Amino acid sequence: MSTEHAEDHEHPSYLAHHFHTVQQQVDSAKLGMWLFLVTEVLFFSGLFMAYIAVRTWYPEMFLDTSYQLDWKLGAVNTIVLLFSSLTVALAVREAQLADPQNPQTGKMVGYIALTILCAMGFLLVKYIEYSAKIDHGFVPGFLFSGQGLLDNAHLFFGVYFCMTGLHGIHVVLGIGVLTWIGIRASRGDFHKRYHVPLENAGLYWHLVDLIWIFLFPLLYLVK
Amino acid sequence: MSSAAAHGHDEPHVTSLQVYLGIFGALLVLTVLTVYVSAAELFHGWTSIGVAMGIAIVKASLVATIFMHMKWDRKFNVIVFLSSLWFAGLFFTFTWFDLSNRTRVHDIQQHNLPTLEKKAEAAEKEAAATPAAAEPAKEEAKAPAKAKAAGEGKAGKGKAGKH
Repeated sequence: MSTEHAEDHEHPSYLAHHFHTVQQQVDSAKLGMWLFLVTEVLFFSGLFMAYIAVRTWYPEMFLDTSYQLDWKLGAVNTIVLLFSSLTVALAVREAQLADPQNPQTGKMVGYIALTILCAMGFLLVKYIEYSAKIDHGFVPGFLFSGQGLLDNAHLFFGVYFCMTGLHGIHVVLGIGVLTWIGIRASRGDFHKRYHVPLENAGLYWHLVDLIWIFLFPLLYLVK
Repeated sequence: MSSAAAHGHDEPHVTSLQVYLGIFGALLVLTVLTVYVSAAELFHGWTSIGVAMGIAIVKASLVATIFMHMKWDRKFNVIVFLSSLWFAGLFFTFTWFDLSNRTRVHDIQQHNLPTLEKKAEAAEKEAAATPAAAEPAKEEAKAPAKAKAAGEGKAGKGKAGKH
C-alpha cells in the first residue's frame, strides 16, 4: 500500500485534504470522540436518574426484587468486559508499535477479534439472563406477570431492562464498529503514524465497559 | 518535509504490557472485592451504595487513565470528558430537589398540612389544660401525622399505581 499519492502534491494517503497535518487530523478526531463520549454519559445519566428515583422511593421493593438477578452471571459478564477492555487496549498498543511501511497486522487483528468474541460472549450471557426473566414474566410495565414479588416489582424490571438494554445495544453496535475496524486493521491501515480510528473505537469500547462497571453493583449487588 | 509533517510533534505514548496486565489484575481484584463486600452483607442501604460506588469509581478511574490513555492525552480532552460528570451532577442535583420535595408539596396542597399541625398543637394544649378532653384531641392530632407518613412513600407499595 503506497503512503503517497501522486497528483500535484505529496502527503500520506491517510491525511485528508482538509487538514494541514496528520497531528491536526488526529487531534480533531480525538476531540470529536471525547465530545461524543460526553453525550453518551449524559444519555445514560437519564437512566441513572430513573434508578435513583425508583430506589429512593421504594427501597424495600428494590432490595427484594434485586435478588431475582443472578450476581454470578453479572460477575462473569463484568470480567468478560474488563478482559475485552484489556484486549482492545492491547490492539491499540500493537498499532502504536507497527511499522508504517510494513505494518504487522497479525496481533492487532487478533486482539480486535478477541474483543469481538468477548462482546459476543457478553451478549450470550445477557440472552440467558433475559430469557429467564421473560419466562418468569419479570418484564417492565403492564406486561409484568411475575409471581411472588412485591406489587410494584415491575418498576425494578423497568429500570433493569432499560439500563442493561441500552448498554446491550451499545455492545451490539460495538461489535459492528470493531468488525469494521478489524477489517481496516487487516488491510494495514493502522500503524505508528496513523491509528486514530482504532483508538477511537477503543475509547468507545472502554466507555461501554465503564458504564457496566457502575451497572453491575447497582443492579446485582443491592444490599 | 512532508514526512516531518506526517510525524506531527509528539510520538504516541506506548504503555508497557506489564502496566496493562497489572491494571487488568487490579480491576479483577476490585471486582472480587465489590462482590465480597456485598455477599458478606457488611453494609446496608446508603452505606452499601456508597462503598459499591467508591469501588466502581476507582475501577472507572483505572480504565479511564490507563486503558483510555487519559493520562497521556491532551489536557483539553480530559477537561471535556470530565465536564460530562459536572453536567450529570447538575442534572442529578436539580432532579433530586424535585424528587425529595414533591411529596411534601403534595401533602401541603392536599391536606393543608401546616394548618393541621397548628390545629393539633392547639388541641394538645387544650388537652393539657382539661384532662377529660384528652382522648378525642389525641385522635385528631394523630391524623395529620399519618397523612404525612403516607406521603413520604417509603413503604410505597400502594404508590405503584400513582406514578
